[in-house]
Formats: sequence, structure tokens, C-alpha cells
Amino acid sequence: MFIGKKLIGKSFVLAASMTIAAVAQAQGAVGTGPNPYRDCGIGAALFPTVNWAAVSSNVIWDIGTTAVISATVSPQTCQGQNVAAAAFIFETFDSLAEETAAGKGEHIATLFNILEVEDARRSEVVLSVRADMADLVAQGRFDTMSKTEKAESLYFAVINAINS
Amino acid sequence: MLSCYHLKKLFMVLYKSALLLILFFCLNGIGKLYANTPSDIAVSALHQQLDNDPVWLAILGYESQGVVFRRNYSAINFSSHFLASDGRIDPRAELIATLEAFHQALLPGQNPDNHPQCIYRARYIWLDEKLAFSGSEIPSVQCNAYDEWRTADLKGLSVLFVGGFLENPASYYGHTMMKLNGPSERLTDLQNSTLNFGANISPDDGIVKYLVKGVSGRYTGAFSSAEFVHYANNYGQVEHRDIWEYELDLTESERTLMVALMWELLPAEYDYYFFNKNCAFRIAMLFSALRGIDLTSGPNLWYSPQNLISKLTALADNQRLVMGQPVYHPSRQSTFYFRYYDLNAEEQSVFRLVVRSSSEIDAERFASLPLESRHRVLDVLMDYYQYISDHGQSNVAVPDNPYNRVLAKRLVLPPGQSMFPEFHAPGPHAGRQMSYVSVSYVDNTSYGNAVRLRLRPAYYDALDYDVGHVPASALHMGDIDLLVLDGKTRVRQASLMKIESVNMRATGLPGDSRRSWLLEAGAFQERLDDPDSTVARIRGQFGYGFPLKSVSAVWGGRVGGNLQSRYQGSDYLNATLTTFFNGHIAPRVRVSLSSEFRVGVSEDSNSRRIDQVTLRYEVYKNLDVRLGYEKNVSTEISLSIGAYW
Repeated sequence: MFIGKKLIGKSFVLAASMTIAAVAQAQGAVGTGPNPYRDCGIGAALFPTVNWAAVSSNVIWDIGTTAVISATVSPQTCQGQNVAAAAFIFETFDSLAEETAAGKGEHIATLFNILEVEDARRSEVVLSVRADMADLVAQGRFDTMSKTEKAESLYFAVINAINS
Repeated sequence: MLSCYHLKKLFMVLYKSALLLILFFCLNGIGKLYANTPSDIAVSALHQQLDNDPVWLAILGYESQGVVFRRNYSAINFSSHFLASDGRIDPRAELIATLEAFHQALLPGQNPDNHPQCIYRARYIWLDEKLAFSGSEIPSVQCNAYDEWRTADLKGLSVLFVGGFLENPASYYGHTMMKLNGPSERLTDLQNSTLNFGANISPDDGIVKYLVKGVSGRYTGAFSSAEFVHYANNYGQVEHRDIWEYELDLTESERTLMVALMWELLPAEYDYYFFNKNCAFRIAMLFSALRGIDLTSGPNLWYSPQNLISKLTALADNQRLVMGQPVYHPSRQSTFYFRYYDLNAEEQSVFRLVVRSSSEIDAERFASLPLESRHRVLDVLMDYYQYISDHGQSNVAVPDNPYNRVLAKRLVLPPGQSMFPEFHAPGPHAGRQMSYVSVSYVDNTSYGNAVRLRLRPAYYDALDYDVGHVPASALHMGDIDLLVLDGKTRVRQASLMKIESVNMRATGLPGDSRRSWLLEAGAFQERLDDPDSTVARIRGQFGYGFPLKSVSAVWGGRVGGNLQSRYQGSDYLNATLTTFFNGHIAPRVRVSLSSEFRVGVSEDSNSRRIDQVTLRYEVYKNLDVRLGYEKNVSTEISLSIGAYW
């Protein structure tokens, strides 16, 4: 995965609005590793707040899903495929959620490529994630969850399904 | 008086001095000659005149620049990009310096990615092909960072055209970028790398500063790279912009050179000019390294993404680069419209019920639909809610969000993809040229016959919108219409900018209203009975447009106002009420009708009604004929012939 080479003036990788996601049920089972959203600050405005100039195609984008600047744990913890997957889930959550509901799609395939899920296991993982998501979305509190919390929930659903 | 002996002695001294002087200059010259003599490989390079080779000049970013006195020098204004002190203006010096740099041995502990062979990868690859480095003293260096970036087993390259969106002024003329397509067995398209050129804009710059600096070249432009997912998500989901992908037909060596050139240019910086030295121009320049292709010849007062696509797809024979039809990546908005209008009557009816009340999703009527229909309705509902949200539904945190209810329903139904026909939209390559010029014969009831000359550099009006444009809408800048009467030329119209937004596909659902708006500024002839009645004016209107799909037409009304300079009986501030109709009444014929009632705010101003009818016949793609009728105090009929270029 390429990491963008140019960093422009917008410090949208880590704005001051780093979100602390303290959602107990979103934590992974033992062995699922750190929480990239909490420990690595993923979710803190990967995309800038849209203003009229920022959406211009003439602006340079540096949108690599790189380890973020003010990780609270060691930099090594915030590298690697899990963090990349967490960032991907955050950025494309809507598409992932809809494809999960349908059972397949390009975003799901991309996520599985990032996490190196073997082809033979992908259907079973999708079904497991789908069941978890159905439980989550049916909860009333899903409506008021932040995007980071939603992404975190999906992330751990995927990691748990892979590790099960 | 000097004796012969002394004269002889003096002559010998002068003679020896002269000899010594000559010897000194010769040795100095020879020394300089040996000091400047390139290595053997450089001699070979110069013998082959590689310093003047178009590919070498393309790699260095050389362009013919200057308005009066044209010179060739590099557009890259980042001095660190050149190895010779005058490399920006002397391609020979840069060639020699490059070859010298390639000779450098890798020092112990030195990162090979910092070796010139890895930084200037395009130069290395091309010069290696020309000079066969393997038999020379030039060491071979492993460029790990480059190898990681360039995607192993690269299958191909594409040029992407991103359409515009009328609600976002910065996107009007579209965008172009490149995509590196890796093996589909290993990567999805979303994981493919892209190359993008844009301006480095300060977040503090407001719209005025942005316009001024963008037009005057005061921004730095540069290339960047990111995975395609970022652009697919931002353009397609957030900005509602369609993407067309043109796959390139390149040989492996061409592909290798292009990719290496992209890599080499990533750190480079340029002056960015919004109109002509922009994303489209810089992408076009990359092709100068291939097959003698020149996509940027000409004065290039403006160079748009559509220009690039038109020229690229027009290449023929041994220069042909584009394979087949473009791949269409519809935006969420386009996907919603395509799918919504594909729903059958019952599906659409249930859809509307759910929009009205989300609890209908648990009601009998929805449950009675076949599973496939339920999938279709739910997926279109999700498209709808995403389309009308500002930044995506996952950013919405409100109780009882109807989108989440739809998603929840989709998750409990058996999985399965909804079945919709594949839909396509013609790409910009199928459209006409961007600029327009016309000449009209005019018959006016007040001043008789005259001629009108019109020049519109870009882009389209409500009669000649084309592929990639918003139907029945208008977007142009710098539209100039001159009236030539009795040997004098007057300004009939000098429109700085006009945007007329009409959404013919709008469903009328909440959040997808059929609103229509217009904004225009410039100078205009106030009344047709007086050719000298030109006033400066800015006008705005807001209203609604209702599609008539059977005739690909839209009708509607808008209220608004004009702020203008005063002229005999006309007020500086006027309220307006306008009704309009734009339609496709026959295969090549479109008609536009409007009637504007204008009333000034002052008691002594005159109110009047202005009627316009224009019929346009498309002779062929880049030629049209227009018949016009206008009543504004006097009546005027015009017949014009126009060409697109």
C-alpha cells in the first residue's frame, strides 16, 4: 500500500479532535491486538472538513493511511495491516456496511486483501460479520454512535471473525 | 639609438615571450578541455544527440515558454530537481551531470533509495536503453522504494476523467488523473495507485484569494500519489462526481518509462495556473515521452480535462493510445437516479411510502414484495439517503435515523446482490469541442440589419449541453457577443460568468428537490432598441424546474433580481420573475424559451417583459445553426452559424 508522499497544509490526519472510543462491546477478544482507533488516533478527521476549496480536485491530497502522528502507543503498534484495515474501515464504512448487508462487494474484497484473509474463508467471515452487524445496527444506540465508534465495532467484528 | 645586436636581442625576448604566452593559453585551453571532457558514456550520449532528444526534454519538463520571445526551459521550478546548476535551461549540462551522478558508487551505509539512479528513475531507464549501462562502469543500484511503489506485475495504466458538479464551483471543468492498474488476482481496483496533479492551497485562502492566485500562477503545483479508494470515495460518494476511466494501450517498455517518470516527478514543483498549466496539462505532458506524441501544442490559452481526453482519444495509427470504451464509475447520485428510475411501479410506490414513513419498512406492503424486489428497494433507499446526506450516513448521529432502519432490514434479509441492469453514460471523448464561435445575421425592428460575432471559450449553455455536462443547464465564462452595426462594434454581451443549474433527473423527494438557480455577471445590452445601452449587471435567480421526461425537457420558474448600472429608464435594482422551458424536440433540435418580467424598485423606472426563443439545430457534432427571436422593447430575429473548437 502506498503512503502518500506529499503533505499539504491541511493537518487532517490528526486534528485536535482525536476521538477516544470507549465502547466496551466493541473491544476484540483476547489476542485481537490494540484498538487502532483509540491507540493510534484513527478516526480523527482522515478527510478534512469539507469546505468549498478543499473539495476542489485541484488540491493536492495526501491521504495515505499511514500511522498517525500522535499515537499513544509505540509507533510499531500503529503500523501494519490491522491499522491499515482500521483506517480503511473508517474511510469507507458506509460502503462496507452496505456490502456486508448484501454479502459481497469490492470494499469487502479490499478489506480482506489488506488483512490477507484466504479466499476459502472469506464467505464464512462475511456471514459472521453480517450477523454481528445485524445485532449492532438493531440496537437503538447505533443511531447516535459516532463514526469512529461504528468503525471500531465493525473492525472488531471482522478481527474476531478472522480469529475465530 | 639601438644597435642591431640590441634589436636582435629585443626581438628574441619578445619572440620567446610570445611563445610562452601562446604555450600558456594552449595549456590552459587543453586543461579546460580535459577538465570538461565527459566520460566515454557521456561522449556516446552527446554523439547520439540525446541532450536534444524529445524524450530527454520531456523527462526534464522542458516547454516552450514566453509570450513574445519563446524559449525552451523546464517548467519544474524546484532547483533541487536538477543536477547541473543550469540544468533547468541547459539539457546538455543536465545530461552530463546525470551520467556523472549515475557513476557514483554506493557508499557503505548509504540508503540506495537516495542514489541518483533511484531518484531519477525515468532518466536511468531511458538512458540505459539508449546507452546500455550493463557494459559500462555505472554500478547497478537496487531501488527498493521505487519497486514497492510501482506495483509489481503492473497490468496497465489508465487516464481518469472526473466530471464536474454544478453545486461545487471548484469542480466545474472536471479533473484528470492517472491510475496504475495492478494484477486483479492480488489487488482490487480500490487498492491501485494513482497519480494526481494539483495546487498546494493554503487552508486560509478564501475564494477571492483562491481565484486570484489560481489564475495568476501564484500557487505551487505538484504531483501526489494515493490509493484509488480515496478518490473513488471522495468523488463518488461525497462530491457526486462521475468518473470515466480510459485504459491505455502501451508497450511494456512504455509503461515502465511512464511509471518511472511519474515517480521521478513526484517531488517536482511547478507554477500552477488554473486555466492552462493545470492537472490536465501536466498529465498531458507525461505523454510527451512516448512515440513523439504532443498533446499540448498550440498557444493553450486554456487547457481543460476535456481537451486532454479529446486529444488523447483522437490519436490514431501508431500513436493510438486508448483502448475501447471507457469504464464508467458512477457517483452515488448517478447510481441512485439510474436505479430509482429502473424500479417498477410497485417498487417505486413502496419506496416512496418508506421515505414518507420509515415504519413502512416493517409493514405488510413491503413484506409482500418478492425478495429480489425488497433487495432492490432497500438498496435504492440506501443510495437515496447517502445522496441526500452531506458527508455520508455514518457521520449522521441522530435518533431514529431512517437510513439505519433500512440497513438493519437489509442485514436481516438473506444476503444477495440486487439485480439492476448495467448502466453507462457516454464519456467526454464522445462530446463536442469545448469552445464556441458564431456569426449571426440580425434583423432588428429599431436599427435594421446588423451582424453579431460571438466567442465563448468554455463551456456550454442550455441548448448545447453535451456528454459530461448537466442537462438543460448552463456553465460558461467569458462569453462575448459583439454587435457590428454601421461600421461600429458594440458590446451586446460580455458575460464574465454564468451558471444555470437545473436538475432534470431530480425525483422531487425530500432532499432531492427540483430547485433551479442562476447566477450571472457581466455587461449586457439593456434594451434592443438602443445598441449603446450596455450596462454592467449581476443577477441571481432561484426557483424550480420540473422535468418532462417524454421530451427530455424541463420547465419552471424563478424569482430573482438584477443589480446593474442605470440607463435611461432602467433602474439599478430590479426584481425579476422568469418562466423557462428547455427541451429536446427532435433528434438534433433543441428549443429554449424564456419570459422575464422585470420591474425596477424606483418609482420612475420602467417595467418590461423580455421574451426569448431560440431554436438550435445540430448540423454535426461541432457545427450548429441557431434561429433566435427576442423581444426587449424592440424585436430582433437572428440566424447564426456556429462552430465548436
